[in-house]
Amino acid sequence: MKARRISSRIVEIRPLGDGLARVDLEGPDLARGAACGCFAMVEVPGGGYVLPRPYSLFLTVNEHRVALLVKNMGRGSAALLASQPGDELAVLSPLGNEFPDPVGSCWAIAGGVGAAPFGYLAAREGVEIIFGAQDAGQSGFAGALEDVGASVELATLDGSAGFKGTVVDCLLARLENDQPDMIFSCGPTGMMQAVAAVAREHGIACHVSLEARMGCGWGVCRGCVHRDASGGWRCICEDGPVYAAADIFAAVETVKGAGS
Amino acid sequence: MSAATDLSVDVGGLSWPTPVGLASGCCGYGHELEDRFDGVDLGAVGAIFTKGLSLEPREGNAPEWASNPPGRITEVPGAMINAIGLANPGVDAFISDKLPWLAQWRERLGGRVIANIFGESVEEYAELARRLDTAEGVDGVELNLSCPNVEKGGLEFGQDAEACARVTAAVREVTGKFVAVKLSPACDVAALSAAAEREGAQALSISNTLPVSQAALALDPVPELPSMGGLSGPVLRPLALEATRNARAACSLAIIGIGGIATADHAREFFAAGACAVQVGTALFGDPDACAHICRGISVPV
Repeated sequence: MKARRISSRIVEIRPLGDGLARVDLEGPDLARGAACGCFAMVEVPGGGYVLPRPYSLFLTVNEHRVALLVKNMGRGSAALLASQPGDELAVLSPLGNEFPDPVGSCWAIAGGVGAAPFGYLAAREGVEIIFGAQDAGQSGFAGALEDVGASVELATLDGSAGFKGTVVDCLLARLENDQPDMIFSCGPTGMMQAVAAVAREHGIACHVSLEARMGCGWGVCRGCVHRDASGGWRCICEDGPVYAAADIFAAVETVKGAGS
Repeated sequence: MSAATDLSVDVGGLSWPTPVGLASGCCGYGHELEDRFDGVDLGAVGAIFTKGLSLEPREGNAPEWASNPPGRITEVPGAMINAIGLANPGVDAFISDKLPWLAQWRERLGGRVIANIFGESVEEYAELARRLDTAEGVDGVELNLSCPNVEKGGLEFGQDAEACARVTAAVREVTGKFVAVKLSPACDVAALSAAAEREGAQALSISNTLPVSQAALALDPVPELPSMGGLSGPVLRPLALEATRNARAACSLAIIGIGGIATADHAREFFAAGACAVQVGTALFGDPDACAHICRGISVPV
């Protein structure tokens, strides 16, 4: 599915706690081709910004409306969070590839803004989401996932809500009693690397979605590169953001409980 | 584009179907626009300036100390800073893998194909130009004399009129095709323009990105970026306009204006300063159809 540049507007900003929100956008056929793992390059509303910003698509609400999960990470995301319903912005969408269709049972291991792609899987039978956050105050994306029907296990580093520990600790604890057919992961690189190592050790198929600063989002600026398992560079917006974990993370000694 | 509106322009002896081209480094090798988007009017593109090509493939900047992913790009108020480092597959892979699409686009819509080239020595520039001289579908070369993102070459040729003259002359000797010299906004534009004209270039591309130390500029520095980068976007426009005026006063070569151009009004500013054509760079990232939007604007009398 090719992307289009779509004149869109903000229809709703649903706060989810400190610096977190679900942001719904609407534009002509905006959801065409949207899928789990795809992203959009979103103009920073309000003028005065040069580059669009990449956001994973969280959910298709209807054919003209999609939702994003947004965390205040810098000036671009802050401006998006500070915008108002009705504000206009251009969106390039859909960009990037998508997660494979989950077959059998699938655990989606997400950290922080890594929750963003998984709204699309929320209501899927056999999918469970393990979501990690610093603390209860940063756990708002878990609520956004539950709101759209997801089964979510929350892990917080300080134990202020849910499982006490990292998502990787939580994953390891669960694997003592159960094992999924597939693992998807999105979040900080170190976390995904640890998840990939655990999946490899247990012989579970694993896909990860990488993130990076992007200039264009469509393969020309070469800004969003990431090392792959063979030491080469992948341009995430060109052949990602979703990869088989083994393509990105070389087999290394598993560090129990590593990641964040 | 309306068929009734003829926007064609002569740029140093090369006819472009519209005066709006795509700037090197911001449009890949052209096919990305067709592969990735519906609704981009490739007939509005007057010329495609390829991503900079070197003799050997380059991975771009990946310093040992960089995080993974490394920071190669960031935004500061009014501008973007890139430190990509001329990642490219090398000239031979360009000719075998990338040129076929460009050649058919050129054949189909009449746009021009200019290969941006970068060497670490005069001989490398000449060798690049020699290989591209026999490549069908390439109308000419743009000499990148001013890239801030590599350790040697590039910018040093772009600071010194004598070096600029040597590179231009060496390229001129091996190709009869169109030659444009791309200048830094931070050089002695008058001296380099005159040198390029004297040694047989057809055009000047003004300007490349502005070399900046990101530490000196960024309000929120990105620690993983290399210490130097190239600044582009709106902040570059007045600098490139001033350089265009200085070049116009110093030589009679065709001038292709580049720097923060996102609208027809911006293009008109460069035409008023003495350019006959423009390139769109950074603005493409948010608007891949920017050429069509600008062409529609400039086809309407002010």
